[in-house]
Amino acid sequence: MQPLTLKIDSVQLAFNERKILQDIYLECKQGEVVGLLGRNGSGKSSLLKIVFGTLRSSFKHVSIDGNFIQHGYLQSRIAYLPQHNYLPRGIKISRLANILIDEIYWNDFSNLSIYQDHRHKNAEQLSGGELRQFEMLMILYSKADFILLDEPFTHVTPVQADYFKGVIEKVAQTKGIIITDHQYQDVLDISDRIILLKDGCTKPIKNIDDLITHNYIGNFR
Amino acid sequence: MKRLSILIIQFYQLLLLYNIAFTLLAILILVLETGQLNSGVFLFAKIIGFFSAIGLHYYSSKQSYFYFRNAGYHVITIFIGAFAVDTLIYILIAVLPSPIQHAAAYLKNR
Repeated sequence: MQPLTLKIDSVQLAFNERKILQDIYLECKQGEVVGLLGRNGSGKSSLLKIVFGTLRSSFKHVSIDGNFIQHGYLQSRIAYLPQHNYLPRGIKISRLANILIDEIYWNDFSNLSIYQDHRHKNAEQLSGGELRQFEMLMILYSKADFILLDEPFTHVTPVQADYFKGVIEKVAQTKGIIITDHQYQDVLDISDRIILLKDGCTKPIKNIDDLITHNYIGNFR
Repeated sequence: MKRLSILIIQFYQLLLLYNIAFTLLAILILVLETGQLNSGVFLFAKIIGFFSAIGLHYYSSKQSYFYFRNAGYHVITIFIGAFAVDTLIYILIAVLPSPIQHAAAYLKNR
């Protein structure tokens, strides 16, 4: 089967007449990890929410294989890991996982020691790190064709970050993944392509010198 | 459909305490205001209670709605489903006592 392509084009967003996004073009194929970098307030999270369908923009064209989609989440086409915790309290982890996890990944997920140890607990009974791990894994192992990860490496230990990178690379064989994080080295490690979001525009990044040129990182070499 | 049904039940479960509290409060206020306690008052209180519970839950737990969206559904679909469950429970509570009372009376008169 041909890999699907998620296209994000001509997104326009403004808050109080301040233009946040204005010249956006982003493409992601199944089997590919696209890293989205940008400074605080550059609109990375807003862009992901627009693609997911929870933030309204003044204009957007988001499509999967040429078919326009208004709400990316409908029919589990796109899944989104927000920066904040999203699993509802008061429901057992096993019941939440049963809904979100794709059957083809169920064995991988259910055999994890973290699941075996905590499946009978509710979200509020887990530590912050454990909860974040479940939230991340439930999105990665979900049914969605495309995954949007908003700061997955923030508030996790380096060991956890390395583990997540392994899972991302594994699921990226069949899914398209767009990832944004301030831990840019982690993003560079796993991304096939890097896009920088600056002044409301997307700029393809060829190498680390481009990031220096665009003042995303300093030149400390 | 099974997945949607489970999601609706999960959402209804999250809403339950708010729903009961607001419905009882609405009944109390309506009874004090109208001086009547009938099925019309109950139904009206039920509707007020449900939508107040939705409002409070949306305000206090908005972030958890990403779970329902990541499951592939619009939150409006979940709200409508939960309202249907709530209405069904109300009808069962309102209708069921009547046949039970009739059956009890029938058995007593035998």
